[in-house]
Amino acid sequence: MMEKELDTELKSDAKIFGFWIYLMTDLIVFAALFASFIVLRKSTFGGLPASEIFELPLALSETIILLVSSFTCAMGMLAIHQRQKKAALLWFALTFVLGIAFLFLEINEFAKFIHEGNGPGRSAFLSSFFTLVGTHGTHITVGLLWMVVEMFRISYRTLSAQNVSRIFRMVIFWHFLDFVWIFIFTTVYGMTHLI
Amino acid sequence: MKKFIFGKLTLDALPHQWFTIGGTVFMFLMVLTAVIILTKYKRWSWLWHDWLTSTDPKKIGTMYVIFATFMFFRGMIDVALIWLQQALAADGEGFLEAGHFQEIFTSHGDIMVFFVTMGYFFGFMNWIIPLQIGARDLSYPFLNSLGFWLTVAGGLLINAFFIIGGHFANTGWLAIAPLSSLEFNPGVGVDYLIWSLQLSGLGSLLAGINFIATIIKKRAPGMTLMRMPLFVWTSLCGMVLIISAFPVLTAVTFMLWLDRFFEMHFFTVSHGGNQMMYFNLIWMWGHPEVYILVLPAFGMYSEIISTFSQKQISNYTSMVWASIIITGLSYLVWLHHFFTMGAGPEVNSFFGIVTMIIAIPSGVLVFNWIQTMLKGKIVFATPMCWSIGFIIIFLLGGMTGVFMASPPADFQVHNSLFLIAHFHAQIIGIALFGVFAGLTYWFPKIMGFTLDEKSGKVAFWLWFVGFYVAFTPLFILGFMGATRRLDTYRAETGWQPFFIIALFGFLIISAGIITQVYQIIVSIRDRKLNRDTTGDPWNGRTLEWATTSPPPAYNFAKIPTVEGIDAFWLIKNKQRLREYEDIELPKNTGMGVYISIFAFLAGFGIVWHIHWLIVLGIIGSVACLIRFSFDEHRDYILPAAKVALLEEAQ
Amino acid sequence: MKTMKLLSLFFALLGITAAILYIFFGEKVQVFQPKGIISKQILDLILFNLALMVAILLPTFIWLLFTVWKYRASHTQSEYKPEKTYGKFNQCILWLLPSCVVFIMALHTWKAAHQLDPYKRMSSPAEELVIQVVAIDWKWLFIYPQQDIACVNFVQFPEKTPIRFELTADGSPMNSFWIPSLSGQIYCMTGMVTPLHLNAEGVGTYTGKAAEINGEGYAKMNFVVISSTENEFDDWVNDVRESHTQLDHQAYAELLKPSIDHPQQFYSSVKKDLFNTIVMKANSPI
Repeated sequence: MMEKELDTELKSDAKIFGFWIYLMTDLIVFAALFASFIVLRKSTFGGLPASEIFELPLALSETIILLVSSFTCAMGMLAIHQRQKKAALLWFALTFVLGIAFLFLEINEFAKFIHEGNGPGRSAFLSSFFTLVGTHGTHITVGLLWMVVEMFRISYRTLSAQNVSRIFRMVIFWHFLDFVWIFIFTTVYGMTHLI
Repeated sequence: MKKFIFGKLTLDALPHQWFTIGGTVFMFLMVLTAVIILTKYKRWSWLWHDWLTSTDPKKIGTMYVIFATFMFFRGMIDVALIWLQQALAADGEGFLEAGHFQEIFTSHGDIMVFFVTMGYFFGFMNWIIPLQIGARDLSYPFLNSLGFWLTVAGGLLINAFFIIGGHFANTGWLAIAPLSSLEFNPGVGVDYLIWSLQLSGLGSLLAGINFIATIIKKRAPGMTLMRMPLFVWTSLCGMVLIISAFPVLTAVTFMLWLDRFFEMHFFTVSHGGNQMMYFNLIWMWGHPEVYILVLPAFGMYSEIISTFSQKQISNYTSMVWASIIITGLSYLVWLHHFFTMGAGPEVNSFFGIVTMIIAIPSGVLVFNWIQTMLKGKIVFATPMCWSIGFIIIFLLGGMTGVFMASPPADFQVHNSLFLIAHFHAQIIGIALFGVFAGLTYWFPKIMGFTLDEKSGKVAFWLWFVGFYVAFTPLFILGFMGATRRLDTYRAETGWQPFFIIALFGFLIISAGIITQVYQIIVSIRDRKLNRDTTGDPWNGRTLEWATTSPPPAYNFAKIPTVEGIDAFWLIKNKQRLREYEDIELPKNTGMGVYISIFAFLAGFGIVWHIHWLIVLGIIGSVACLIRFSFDEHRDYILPAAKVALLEEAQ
Repeated sequence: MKTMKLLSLFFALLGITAAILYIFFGEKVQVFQPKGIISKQILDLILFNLALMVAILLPTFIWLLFTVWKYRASHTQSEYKPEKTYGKFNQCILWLLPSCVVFIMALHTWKAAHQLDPYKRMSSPAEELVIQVVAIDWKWLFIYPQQDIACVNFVQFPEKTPIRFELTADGSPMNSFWIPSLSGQIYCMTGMVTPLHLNAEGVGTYTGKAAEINGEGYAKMNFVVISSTENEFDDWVNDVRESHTQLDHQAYAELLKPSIDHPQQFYSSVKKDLFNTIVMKANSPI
């Protein structure tokens, strides 16, 4: 009953429609960065090729972390639909922790590369790698901040249609970032090992 | 310590050249005048509460138009300097140094494209689209305000170099790499360009999202997509181009900035950087951008020609499809901007041929406009003059474009003044004439009184004649081997007489602009005489003419039901409604202003490498956004009784 | 009516002025006075395109002016049909007309683009002369690998000979190499080689220029082009050989320093493989 009310509200929510359009524009920014990466992937300026720098196990761990976090985030949204604030907060907190873990691994990877002399200023290939993956990481950071804001909202405000819409947008954003990561994993880490 | 506080900023950055001192003093005087007037007439509160914090698209539209007008005069100063320099510059007799001249045409391009043309069109769209679709407001009123203020922040940043920095970019309006890279351009000029574009680009993107959502979701009942006015259709096409192309601009200028700030190597000449990739990415945005500039104008012309021929537009469906096809094809032609980069005959031909194919729907548009006038009763009001003048220049400009679409022909005219003349014919003939047509057409609706027709017509003729005198020599100069962006040339080339004729044309155009200023002054003076009492001064056909001039904040007391194309024409003689209901409207908010101030500070900090300022700017804008998201009471209710009072008063 | 008459007068005046200017400056309209085989073929293409465009433009223009004149509100004799709509047949014609013109132009463009591909070697009984070009801030270096000489801001070659330019840049951003009298232009980029072929039809002196903005000295980055007879060319090469200035490592380093309005310079011998070294420099760390 209450679930159904919220669901129909979300379907016709104007802000969610606009947010999808925004996500498409963000996707195009990523597309341009992907295109640049693909063009520049061999421009190592005499340095090591991607296959000798990237470590697939690390990338795989990051992928699994994000995938699980998408699941926990969806569970959080489900709890919101069922008006179970406590459960929602727990699921979102879990998602947050997984997100932090992802960032930790990524920052470590960046630091390691820079330490080895493979920083973004070394070659066009590394510039495009750091930028593409770094832009995704920045989006993850924004997503985590947003998650904290929404957890605050759940704790101290009512779950009105307006607020549920805001939480929903944060959740879609998080799923979107997971979606982009799949492409990063395939193109940046996977493809460079093969082609 | 000093480096931490000030970044790259030194005393050297303060104005010490004639033009930076001049620009600073001029801007200071303008602000001082505004402050004095506002204080004298005690209008600070009015300014803040009625205008700056407004979420009403009619008010935001007016602010866009005023802002664009300021930027127009700013850009015209650049034009005057360019024409004067080139008329004098035979054998080095010009008065501007090469570097400075290069900065002038760079800022001219960026200001005219991003702030003038787009500013005016966002203004018109804000004014008119809600009215034409029978809505009260855009889908996202706060984002509307934020988008405007971000554009203003960008406009401030592009002029900030007068006060701090002393140098703008000297790379041409698109900051082509590697000229714009750190190696060839270590100063701050290019950074000012990048970040003013990023800020205003973000504003444009938000506006694009807003208008698409509005047009898709907020049309009045009965207004199907195929009953929308053509201005709404072509604006929708333009907005679709914005949301798909501007992200590419964001990405490529971001990469250029990374090259400059973090010494990365996307577009540098060594370390694997790829100059050709910059060309591809920037023009992948750049070509849709020029269609963003002209598509809304096409819609405007359709309505103006239809209204002043007193006849329905010739084949509405064809016009819609022609606009959609132009939108789609505009994504497939970007390489025609650099045929000379050596992509090979197959690739070059593909892009050349697709460019030529765009001429087909464009031709259909022109034929239908002429057919609309056929067997109509043409009234030569000022907006109609601009529209007919547009068709003539569009034919010429379009022809020269298709001509250049042939790659080998382009090899001889690329980057020559022929190219300059072509795109100015398009931008001036389509977009700028569109701005003037739109202003004269919709001014009575928004301001409540009509503009003086006589001076309007004089202004048109001065512009039309002036345009030809100014740009025809440039076509010839292109064939004489004159490349663009030259600050000096040898007298033996024989180019100087042509530059002088062009300068004369510019003087005629300036007379046209002065006449337009005179027109505004005279119209304001005579406003009580020219009051528009009916709301429909031109015997219009679309819904905006169904309201009073100016319309009330809520546009329509009751949202109309639409029965066909030219919605107003069909309901013109029906009875006025007497039943009123409560209307929900968005409250004003200052958040757009605050966020944009923080964005400006962040942009300034990025240009000068003042790290703490960057952090402050980012944290500030984010904090504002978060704070605003907790504001759950954004709307207010206008009770039915109040609506009744307002409606009966007319 | 009066406006129409004034408008026609204005365009007539414009046309007459253009004609007068052409009579006086005609020689200098380089694109229309081609002196090379390539520029001549490009001009043919330009004129073909122009003719096609005028063919569709002129009738449209006349139709517009006639309609505006005939159906003006004050001209009460003309029919007023406010409810007139146009059917599918009408629209088909309107779409078909420009499509036909574009179709012809497209076919012609495909052919011309292949024929006039700057990368394509020219067929000729004479032997090809290779000249390597390096765009440096803000001058042009011409290296003759077959003759082992070099010059700055000056290039000479024999008439009726296929010339192959191999272009690159060094220490300079995107450049464009253009001799309007002889052929179209092509971009020259650091780390890359772009070829351009042309063939001067007679003897003459021409101007070459930079057509892509590359910094402060851009406007003055011009060079002199001379096509001479075979004998004059051989004499010239011998003269240069007697200048006894070497384009060695040091001399090249000097050239790399940015300079505006650089005077012409001539080198009697060139460091071995200089051009290839320059191209490779940007592609891998030293």
